[in-house]
Amino acid sequence: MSEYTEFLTRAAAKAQDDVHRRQILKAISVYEAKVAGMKERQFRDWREARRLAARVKDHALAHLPELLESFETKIARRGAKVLWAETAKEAQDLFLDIVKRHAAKKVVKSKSMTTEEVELNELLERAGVEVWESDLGELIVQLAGEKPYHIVTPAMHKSKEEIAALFHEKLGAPPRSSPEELTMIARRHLREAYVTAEIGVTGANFLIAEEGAVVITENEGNARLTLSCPPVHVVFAGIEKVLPRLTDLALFLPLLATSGTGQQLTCYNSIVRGPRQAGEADGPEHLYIILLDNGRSGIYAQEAFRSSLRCIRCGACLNACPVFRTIGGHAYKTPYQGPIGSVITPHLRGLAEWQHLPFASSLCGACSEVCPVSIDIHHLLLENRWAALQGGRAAPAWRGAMKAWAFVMASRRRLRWARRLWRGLDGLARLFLSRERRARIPRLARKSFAEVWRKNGQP
Amino acid sequence: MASRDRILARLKRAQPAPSLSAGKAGLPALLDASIFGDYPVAAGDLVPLFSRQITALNGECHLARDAAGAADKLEELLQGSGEGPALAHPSPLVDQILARRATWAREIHGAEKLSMDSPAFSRYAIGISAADFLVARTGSIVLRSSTAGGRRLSVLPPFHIVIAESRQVVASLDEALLGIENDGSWSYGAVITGPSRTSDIEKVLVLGAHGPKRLAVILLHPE
Repeated sequence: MSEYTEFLTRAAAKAQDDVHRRQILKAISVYEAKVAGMKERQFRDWREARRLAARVKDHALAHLPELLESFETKIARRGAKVLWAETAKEAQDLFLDIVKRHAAKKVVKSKSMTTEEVELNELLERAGVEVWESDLGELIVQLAGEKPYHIVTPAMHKSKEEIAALFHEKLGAPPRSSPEELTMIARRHLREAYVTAEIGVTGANFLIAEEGAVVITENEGNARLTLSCPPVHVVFAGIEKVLPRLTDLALFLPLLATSGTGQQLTCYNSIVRGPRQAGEADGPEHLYIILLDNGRSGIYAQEAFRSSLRCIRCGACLNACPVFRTIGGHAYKTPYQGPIGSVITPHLRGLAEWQHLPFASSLCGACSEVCPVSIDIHHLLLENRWAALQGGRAAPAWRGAMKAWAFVMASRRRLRWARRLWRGLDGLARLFLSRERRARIPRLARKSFAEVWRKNGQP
Repeated sequence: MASRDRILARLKRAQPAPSLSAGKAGLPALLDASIFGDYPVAAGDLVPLFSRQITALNGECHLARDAAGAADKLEELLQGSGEGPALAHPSPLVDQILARRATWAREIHGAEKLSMDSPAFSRYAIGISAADFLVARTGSIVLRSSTAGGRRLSVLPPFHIVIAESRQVVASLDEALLGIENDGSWSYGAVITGPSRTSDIEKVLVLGAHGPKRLAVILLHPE
């Protein structure tokens, strides 16, 4: 089966799953109330804040190569090694080299969508290296053998009863534990991983060019422990994550926290400027930063899509999207789900296999409305549809039907004939269809509007 | 190296306008008061605002008029929390408080003695450190490896106590960031806003996920 037909199957199944829908709507309604309150409280002018953020990001993108070079020079001066990967495969190879060099048997990870893109967990399992997700939501989906459901809240689809059962089965937790108890079980469970792992892996929310710093945002403290305890710290970061100045965080951290979880600031924002320096009490001896392209420079080269690289992965467009709410995060089968995922995935993974994603949208514009960096997401979805058609990659039946539609609609006379033809064929076709299928195909009205108008005259 | 050069070459080829050598030209100023809600804050309101904000996030703020008062507060916190030994990072301010009780010299270890000895580190129940700035608007603590005894002291023990002075309180995050950027050779900095938390299970808020469950600031505030 193609990605497209698999997508349809998964989406159809989830759309009819009432339990799933209730679970998701419950989580999103809590989220929406918090976000609305925080926007009001924290920002005098939310629209102005996002316009400003978009300008800073656009400036960073306009100077992207120079800023990346500056980031590299500055952080390398403090002993970090910056590695560049053109593809996910190259990032995997770079990481395996690091594993070998430090004879690592155990890796502890904090949440990172870039490592999902690289499929790091699968790689390490194949290589026989133990890997522990330390973010609670990520740990839940790892134990369940699933992929993250949502870029910010990976276990959004799981009820507390399901998670209690999972922890009971996999971690020997008492059955029917409460969320508090489950969190404490995860805490105790992972303490050992932090102090015994040879490598700690994190993502990066921002790279600061002028300062030569990696910024990691979180609530639990698992990222802080991951980058504090093991002797080696490896950062995976997309090349688009750059901000010019450290002080830009004064806007971007509140913006990300507000849109991501409805907080004023997330609990912990870590600024990493290097491995342990002379005179410091602790910290990793080695810091590697793997900068991942994997299709991003291709997006960068297309002016129409460049603004999608502003994305700070807050997840707001997923929560706002009526399609995401209906089909859920797993239907997309990509690390980046929802509207922004449907914009970038075809460019990261290939339009041929993933062109169906931009069509999975009602183009209602809710995504663009909530985006904290003013990405015009729904127009970029249209751009992707256009690119799919331009590339001749659309299904032949679709192209044929669209051509026929254009031909018929261009002339009053042709439309009249087409109507008659349709009605005739419709009656005939219905004889051969099951009752269920018949019900799904709408009937044309007996008389066209023009005929009714002519008959009744002006009201 | 080859990948690096190819990626940079692709980006440079696609760069929109001829690259401006002056990196900051056209970069908007961020200290634009108009976008944030409760900004600016009058100088006299900074300490009460910080105290309100950190308390709202389930953190604690204990005001002390002088070093003696701060030592009393610290004693209360140490006794109240009960179990486990404490670990402190030496700094002029912290030392000044610790020096007020003779017994503390024996009971509270210095972070610099521990270095990378992780298992020993795990047995400490309380970490005591200084900070660089406190941010009133957000109730945040800004600290660096240089001020807070490295990375683990402020995150591994379940209770983190910060000792700071009211002149370290600034109105907003940008002032704190301006204060630490391009300054010194520290490798780690953190903006800490409340005790560790998670809402990953059905959006239910739970405190003390992986970092400290309890966070307290003892703030020297001579009025």
